Amino acid sequence: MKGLREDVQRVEKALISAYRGQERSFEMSSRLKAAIMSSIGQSEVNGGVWDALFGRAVWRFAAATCLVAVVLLFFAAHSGLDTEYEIARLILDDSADIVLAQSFGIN
Amino acid sequence: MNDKSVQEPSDIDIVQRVNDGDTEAFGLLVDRYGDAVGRIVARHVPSESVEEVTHDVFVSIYRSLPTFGARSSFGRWISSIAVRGCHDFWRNHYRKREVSLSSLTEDHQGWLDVLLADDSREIFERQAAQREAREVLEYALDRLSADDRMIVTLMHLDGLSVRETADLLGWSSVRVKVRAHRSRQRMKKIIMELIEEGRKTSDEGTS
Repeated sequence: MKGLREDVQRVEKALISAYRGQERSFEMSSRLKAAIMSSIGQSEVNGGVWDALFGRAVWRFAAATCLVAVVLLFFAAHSGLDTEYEIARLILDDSADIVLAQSFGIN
Repeated sequence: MNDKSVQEPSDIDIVQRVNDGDTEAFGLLVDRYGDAVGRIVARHVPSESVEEVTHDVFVSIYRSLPTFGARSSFGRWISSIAVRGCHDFWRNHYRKREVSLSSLTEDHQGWLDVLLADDSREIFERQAAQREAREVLEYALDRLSADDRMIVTLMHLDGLSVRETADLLGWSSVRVKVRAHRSRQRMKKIIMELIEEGRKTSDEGTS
């Protein structure tokens, strides 16, 4: 009786041979091509708006935006601007008479 | 003028046109690579899913065109997207699979018995050419994970090198080597179980 290892090798070889001998022809049909072009057209419509708003243009301004953010941070740190105080003053001063404080339950 | 290169735009030219907004130019790439992509897909997914996966691969190619850097050949780049599309197919397939795995029939066990009963080349070739061989292969592949299945198919069945497999799947060579070793062991274990099961069945039949 042959060893199990030899049997495994023989089956393995037969499976590889079966795989390689398999017929796998494919021809792109005009129907499939039309479906692909239609999907692409659809993604162009959907993606076009997204790209126009958030595509490459965003990245073009990324460096400038970061620079502005750093400058503002630097300005805020050196001008003695206290953001918490400014927000509290905005709510409590209520100069526009909008009664913002009441909407937060503060009298 | 008969110069073919003058008449037909190169792949790079077509990619440039598509990236510049000429969507219809993508049809030229579908014409040029449609059969090749379909054949790659047909090697990896069941026949009833070939068209669907080929469709999805071309949509992926279209979406990825802006990232094509012309560092590798366009054909090779497309092949890698096709193989990754097949990998995605199997990952989704295994995730959605609800029915239990197929089991082998008496025909399959019979196929194994005949193959192992005789060492002759003639029997080997006859058995390898049978439908049962492909079904046993499918049975074994079905018991592997999506990653293992792709590795076994690309390396052991298609006979690609570690580097080629790594390029196609977008993995590191080390990862491919480790996976290849593990998946081969798993495949051997599955085959071993099949053989033992067959022997057990035939022993029960004779006693």
